[in-house]
Amino acid sequence: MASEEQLKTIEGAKVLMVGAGGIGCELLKTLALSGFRDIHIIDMDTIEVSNLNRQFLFRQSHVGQSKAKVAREAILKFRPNINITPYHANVKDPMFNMEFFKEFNVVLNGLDNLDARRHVNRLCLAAEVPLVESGTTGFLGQVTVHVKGKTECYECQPKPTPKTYPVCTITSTPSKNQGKLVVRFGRMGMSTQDFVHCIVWAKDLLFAKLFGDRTRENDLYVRSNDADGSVKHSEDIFEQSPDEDLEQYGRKIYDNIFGHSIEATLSNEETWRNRNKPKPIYIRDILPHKIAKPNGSLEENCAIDDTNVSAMASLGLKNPQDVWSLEESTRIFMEALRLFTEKRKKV
Amino acid sequence: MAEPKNKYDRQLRIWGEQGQAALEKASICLLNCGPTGSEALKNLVLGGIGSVTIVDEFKVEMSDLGNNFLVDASSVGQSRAKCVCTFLQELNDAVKAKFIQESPERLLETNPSFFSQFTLVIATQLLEDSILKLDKICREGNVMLVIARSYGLTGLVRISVKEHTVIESKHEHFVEDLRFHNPWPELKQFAESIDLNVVDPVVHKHIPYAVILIKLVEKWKEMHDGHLPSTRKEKDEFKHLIKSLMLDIDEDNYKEAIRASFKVCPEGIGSDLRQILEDGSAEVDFGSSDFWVMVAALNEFIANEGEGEFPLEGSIPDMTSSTECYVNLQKIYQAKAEVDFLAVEQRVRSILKRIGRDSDAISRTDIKTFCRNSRKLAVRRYRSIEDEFKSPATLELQKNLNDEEYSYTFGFYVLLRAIDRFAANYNRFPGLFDRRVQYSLKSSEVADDVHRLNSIAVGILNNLGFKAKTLYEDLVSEMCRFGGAELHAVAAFVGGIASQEVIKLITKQFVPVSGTFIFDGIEHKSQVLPL
Repeated sequence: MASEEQLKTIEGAKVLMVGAGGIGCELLKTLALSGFRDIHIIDMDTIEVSNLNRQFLFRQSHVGQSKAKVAREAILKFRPNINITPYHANVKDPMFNMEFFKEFNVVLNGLDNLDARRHVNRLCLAAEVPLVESGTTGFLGQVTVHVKGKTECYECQPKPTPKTYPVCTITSTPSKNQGKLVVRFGRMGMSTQDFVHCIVWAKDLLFAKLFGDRTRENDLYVRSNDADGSVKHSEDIFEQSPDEDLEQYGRKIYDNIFGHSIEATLSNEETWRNRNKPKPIYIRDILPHKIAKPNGSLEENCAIDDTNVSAMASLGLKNPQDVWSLEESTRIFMEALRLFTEKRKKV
Repeated sequence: MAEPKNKYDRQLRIWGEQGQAALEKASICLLNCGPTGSEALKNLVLGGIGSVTIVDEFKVEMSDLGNNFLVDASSVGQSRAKCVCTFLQELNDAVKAKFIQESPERLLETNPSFFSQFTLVIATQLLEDSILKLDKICREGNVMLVIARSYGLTGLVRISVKEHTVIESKHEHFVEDLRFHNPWPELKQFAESIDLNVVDPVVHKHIPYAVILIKLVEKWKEMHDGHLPSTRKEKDEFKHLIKSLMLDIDEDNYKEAIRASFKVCPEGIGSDLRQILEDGSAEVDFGSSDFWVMVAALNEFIANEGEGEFPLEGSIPDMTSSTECYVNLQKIYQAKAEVDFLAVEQRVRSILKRIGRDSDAISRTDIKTFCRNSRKLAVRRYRSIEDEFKSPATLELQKNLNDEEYSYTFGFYVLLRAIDRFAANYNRFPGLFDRRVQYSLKSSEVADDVHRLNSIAVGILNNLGFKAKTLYEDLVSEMCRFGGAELHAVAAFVGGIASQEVIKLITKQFVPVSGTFIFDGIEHKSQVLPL
């Protein structure tokens, strides 16, 4: 249908694809079948089992390998006469500078985050290369074209900060906080993406399991995979057993959430090849000794109405702007649990 | 064993284990495995559909390599059905993939009962005549049919199913049913137990907005003869009333109450939902489907225990609150939802008994799902292809035609039908001579084709009831220039839409497209025509 001249333009074009995921696989296939012969692909990710239901260039045997490289091989098997150059790298790497971008006739984005999209948009503007931007979630999707001086750019319209986060990403890769543990009950005003997983975890897992209906299903709780780890056993951890005092109960929850379930997540090695691994934390390493009751005896403590005392105040931490150490965070966790449970008993 | 769950993890989050189980049980037949059909099937095989059977008579030619990713140079000369089948199997070994090297048209003639074994048939690149026959066969055998066609820069997707009922329509942006205007006794009692004038500022700023609104609606009604705030002015006044109780401008719970104040006026029943409740099928008998039995029970519930309300969904949104208060509120809503569910279940059981079916024929889980979604039910009925051709929906189309924006898409619909007639008359597609496309439109042969196609199209327009209407001439020439080409990019898109609709039909989740989906690849617009 295209004229000879148009076909020549397509064959002579140099195209950059950023991202070889769900959109990237379709895009690469369509570009190859539409006659493009010089395609470059940047993707920092490796293939995971959960990609296989849509990223059709990948097979089970490719799990753990570079997406960009495997995508290239898959296409070359069918179209051996075209050139595909893969980069197993982050698009924000300085090697992909303005000079690099200037080489291309068009750039196509198939990314999964705002930050990288903005970065590519700026480079395309600077290098004066047209950008085709696309994205999908669930049953929704959009494509926009950005040409300097002719259309608005990707950042001309403010992009709404996503209100919901894909639980899948949060469950399988709880690494958004670089391994630092931040748990602040009652002070969840933080909204930067780095802490998203802490907030989601506290709100949707811990809150529901500790205070809500324990029997309701929860996507977030990763059970360890031991053969004898029967469902009954693992669900019991949120229940305080009769022979357990409050401190033992708290320690059990702590170890399960920050220790055992992190280890279960880590067992999926492919996921972590290119990411910062979270460290499992066990409370015996942080607070090896039984916690001493603050302000002396138990009776005295009960005498004060501490319903409105926060865990911070009762531990003597004054400045809310301070960054807590791991030990302080752990103490806060245990103290908040104690205050809450005791208050609940009274009501 | 954990592997499949991991592999389908992302889609399970969209349609759940039940949806996945429905897909794994389904068997699909694909007619013609050009790029449109191959792409549609690829998406379904990746998602783990139960089984696929490909019917296609052709051998792979060099030209297939230019638009179909599922064949390669080594396949040239072999059966296209076989090659596509082998590739699909490679994508997902959990799927049973079969092929039959045979022309779909011939199969329709020689073995019409062949189609009754499938859950759903996807017919691609099939001409008018065969579609008519296939539609009749599928309707008789209760097999769902999805038609997909790509032609140059245009294409269409059409569903043909007598009736498709949806419980889990998964509407987004749905206002929760929180009953602020009409709290049941337990909720009312709970709200009354909380004092809005409490002096302690910490307690004051942790009263959940649900409680604030319930109490203030009550107060408003007392002052306004039992009416809810309805006019814009009244709604503003109501917001002022909320604001006047704030102790501090930083009280999040009060800010949330102001933002959510529109929730105090019930949404009312939408016309689509009203139609379902009043549908003739809600008068049930032995032959009624589970869906309509549950609708009948819903009607009885609303008229009796529900006192005009639907069964409560039972979940509440996040809100600023003390933990105690929030958990108690959650429990009150959940308990009411359970009570409503039990009442509906009772009614379902007695209706089943009344119509002569086993009273346990519908599971508790299904009834529970129905209750939770009872305000979001959807029903789709598609006319047969024969009806579409014989008695066109002129009035409905007229409305769409007045929209300048979309007259191109309507033009494409008419022309897609015209090319089939052209092919039936001349045994080739317009603009395609000796299997070679003529590029120059000046050539007299092409000009003749444009003329012929145009008069066929005008004939179709007349039949549709548009006597004075003509088509844009450049659109007719464009259609001839396409020369029967099936472009990969267009085929992948049209095939993708088709597979998405297939997933909706099989999982019975999300609402399938309401009419014929037409794609205009020149302007990149699409439209759904009521046909």
